[in-house]
Amino acid sequence: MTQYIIRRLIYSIFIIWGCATIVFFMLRLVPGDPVSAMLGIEYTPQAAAQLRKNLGLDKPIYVQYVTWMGDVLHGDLGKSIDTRQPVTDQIVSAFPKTLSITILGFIFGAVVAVPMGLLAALKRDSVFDWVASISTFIGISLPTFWFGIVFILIFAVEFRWFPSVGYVSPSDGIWPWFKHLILPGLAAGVGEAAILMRFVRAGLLEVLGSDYVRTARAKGLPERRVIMSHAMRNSMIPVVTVAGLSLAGLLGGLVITETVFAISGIGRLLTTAIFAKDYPIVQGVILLITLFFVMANLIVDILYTFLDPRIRYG
Amino acid sequence: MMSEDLGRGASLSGTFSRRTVLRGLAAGGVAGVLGGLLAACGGSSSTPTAASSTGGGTAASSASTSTTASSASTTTTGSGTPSTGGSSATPAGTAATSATQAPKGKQGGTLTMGYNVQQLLQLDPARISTGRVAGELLPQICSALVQFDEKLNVIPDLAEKWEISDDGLTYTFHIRTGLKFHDDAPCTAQDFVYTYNRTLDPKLASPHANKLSGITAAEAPDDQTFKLTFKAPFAPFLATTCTRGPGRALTPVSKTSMEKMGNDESLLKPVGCGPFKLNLDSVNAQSGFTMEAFDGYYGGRPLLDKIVVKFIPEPASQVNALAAGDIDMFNEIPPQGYSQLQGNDKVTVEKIHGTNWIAVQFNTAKPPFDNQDARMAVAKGIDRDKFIKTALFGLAEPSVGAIAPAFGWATQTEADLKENPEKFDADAAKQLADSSGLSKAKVELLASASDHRNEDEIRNQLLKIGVDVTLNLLQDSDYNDRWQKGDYQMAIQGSVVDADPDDNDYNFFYPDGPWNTGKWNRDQAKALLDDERATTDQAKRAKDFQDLQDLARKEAAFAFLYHAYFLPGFQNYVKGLPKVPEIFYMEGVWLDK
Repeated sequence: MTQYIIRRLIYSIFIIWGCATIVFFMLRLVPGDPVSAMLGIEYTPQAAAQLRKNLGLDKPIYVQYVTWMGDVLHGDLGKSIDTRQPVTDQIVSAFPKTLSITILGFIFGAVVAVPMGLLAALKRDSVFDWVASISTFIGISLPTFWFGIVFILIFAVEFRWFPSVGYVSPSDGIWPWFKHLILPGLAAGVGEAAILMRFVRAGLLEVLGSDYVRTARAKGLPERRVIMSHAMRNSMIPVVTVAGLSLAGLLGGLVITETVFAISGIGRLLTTAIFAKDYPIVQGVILLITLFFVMANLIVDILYTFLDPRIRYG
Repeated sequence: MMSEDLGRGASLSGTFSRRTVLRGLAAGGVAGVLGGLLAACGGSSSTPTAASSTGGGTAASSASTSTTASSASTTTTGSGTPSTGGSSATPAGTAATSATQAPKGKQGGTLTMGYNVQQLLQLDPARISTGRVAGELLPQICSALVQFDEKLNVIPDLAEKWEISDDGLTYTFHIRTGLKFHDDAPCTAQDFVYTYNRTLDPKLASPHANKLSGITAAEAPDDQTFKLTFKAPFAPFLATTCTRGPGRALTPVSKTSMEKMGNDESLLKPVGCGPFKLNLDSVNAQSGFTMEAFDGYYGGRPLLDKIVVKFIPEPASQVNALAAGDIDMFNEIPPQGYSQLQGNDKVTVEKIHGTNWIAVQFNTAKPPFDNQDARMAVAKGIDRDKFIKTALFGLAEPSVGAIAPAFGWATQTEADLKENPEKFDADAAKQLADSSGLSKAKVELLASASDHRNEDEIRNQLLKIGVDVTLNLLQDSDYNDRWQKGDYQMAIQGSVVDADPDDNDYNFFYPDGPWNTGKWNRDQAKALLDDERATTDQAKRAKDFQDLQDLARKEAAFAFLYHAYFLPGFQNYVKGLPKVPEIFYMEGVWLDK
């Protein structure tokens, strides 16, 4: 197992390097010029040339690549072209916000999805199952921003229970922090809940029809034990797979939620940088997201061994 | 609650501002209908409106006039031609205006201000390239030589008075005594020389360096005297280059702090001598920053203790945040949210004439719009009233030229024209489209993928005259790139936050002007713009600008569309905000709660 993890970690280095390299060159193939975006209406060819020189963008691409890679290996992700602030600082500032929403959204999603999926599977074709299925379709079909705006209109504008925009650091108080996260967390959690519930229900239904569950029941085990100890555990494999990937996906995929709630997280940082052609920021954030995906995959694979002792890695 | 202040000229005639072109702000990340507009800076001087102007005034003169207008006690010496021309204008001593008067209202409190920006690109005055940030946020942090009053006249700020030589080539500013930067360093005439040199330093790559290109010498004979010598008169100099907000090129910053930080860090952290001190640790390019009352401000400590600026890029969230009471004010209400706030009796939205204009810019160097009839077909084929109703929720005025309504001394409406060749006429437009071959041509309109409401409406309207327009949807950086290189047929462009019509007209209409990417090069346009810069007579300047618009309309260089209203919104308990279009002066703002 240890050898397997070490091997996977080594592979991960190549995956991350490959992604970083592809992103580096693809960014420069996309039409548009960061300097023209920066200068906006103050653009003049002279000002643009000077700025390009100051930023090192006048050098050949391969020189820029080698320089950047060298810096990354030394732990330096460079500075934003637009704001000239260190990329690391901007990521460090944005990351806790996105992570907070991600975790809260995931918790909201899991708290709703697991029991609902379980009940829907156990009461298959009942009214509850039918209602739960419709709910999941709605949760998956409606966009996150719609839920966000509806939550804001109800809970912020109408009742004024929670703030409609912004983020407060936990260092300024746990309750203010949590209060600012409830609505974005809920908005992000709706889609998560819907997807997870489908997998919990489907996974459990499949397992409940399998031979070993029938055997367990035939042995006279209480139904509760059959479900919780035998069926649930095995049905969790696809759920864990989806949960792991969506958790990692949330990290870069919360841009809509972050925009609606005016929270300057990783998603907004990335999309703003993409539109502005702020190469160092895009490269730095993609590195982070790649790292998360790779780690999430690894953790999911390791979790399989706990859920199903038959799975072995060597 | 809504309040309207649409008084032409009388209350809004001065101008300050910066030009802006559409996509600019978008690149910086500003959202909203005007979100695409890039603001550059511009500038010009305030303008004496009929009511306020005393002498003949030109732009520069606006300086003098404005002073006169702003306080009865000021004296205008030299009559004649202030601006470039010669005349001096000196608000003798009493600069007495908003900045120096003790603010009236309740002291204390924190104001949370929502701001429609996706990301803050710059705050350093020498490098700022978005007009709304420069006009609405920067004035709190950085005071300048002069500023605008509510009527958009140029009034004293750090310079308590100034003189302009008769030939318009020498400006002598008398700097107030005892000025301090936020780092407690003294601010003297030497700091203006430093700022001048810093802006010109190639290492800084200031986009405003060109605004100083006409200056041959910047000197500080003593700590209280700052003297500039020009090689040729430049009428709009005071407003475009010296004002708090639009005048970034000469807005002083602390040498000690800026050099200590270096060019990178100081990009978002200017240390100026405005009424509010930027909390340097609070600056976050994505989320906002905090400004704190500066005890050392020459006009006295501002009434608010603190201003917290929160960036809110999404229009629906902007409106909801104000409706929910999560923010105390928002810099500009998105037109799509205006009606939602109309029924809210806790919120006020001002409706003020802006300093902007928006139009379809044609690439006159390439087919099909190298043909004047093709351009005229488009210009005549757009029903402006319907366009404004559909694309802008009715929150704009039809435009007949590139002079915003806030410039009451020069602007024109349909009623002022003997004839408007671009007036909507669907039948004539259809005929022209057929005869010029436009109806059979492949026609493209450059558009931003993030916001193309205006472009959609243009497309719909032109379909009715038989012209099938394809929208070329691009990311903002690509859009800017294509537009700057002249790689387009049509684009919706324009300017916001102008300080003077010269602020954008020069760049758009002057042959080889940086925004004249449609290559509409006319000797007559050059002559008119050269003349308005050199003349000292404000009426003559107005005539020059109007003749230029006549020419542009006659040849359909642009299809002029609209002037959007400026719509700041705030809770009713926010008091004391001057109604200056597209610029905020917050030292007198207070909270009545």
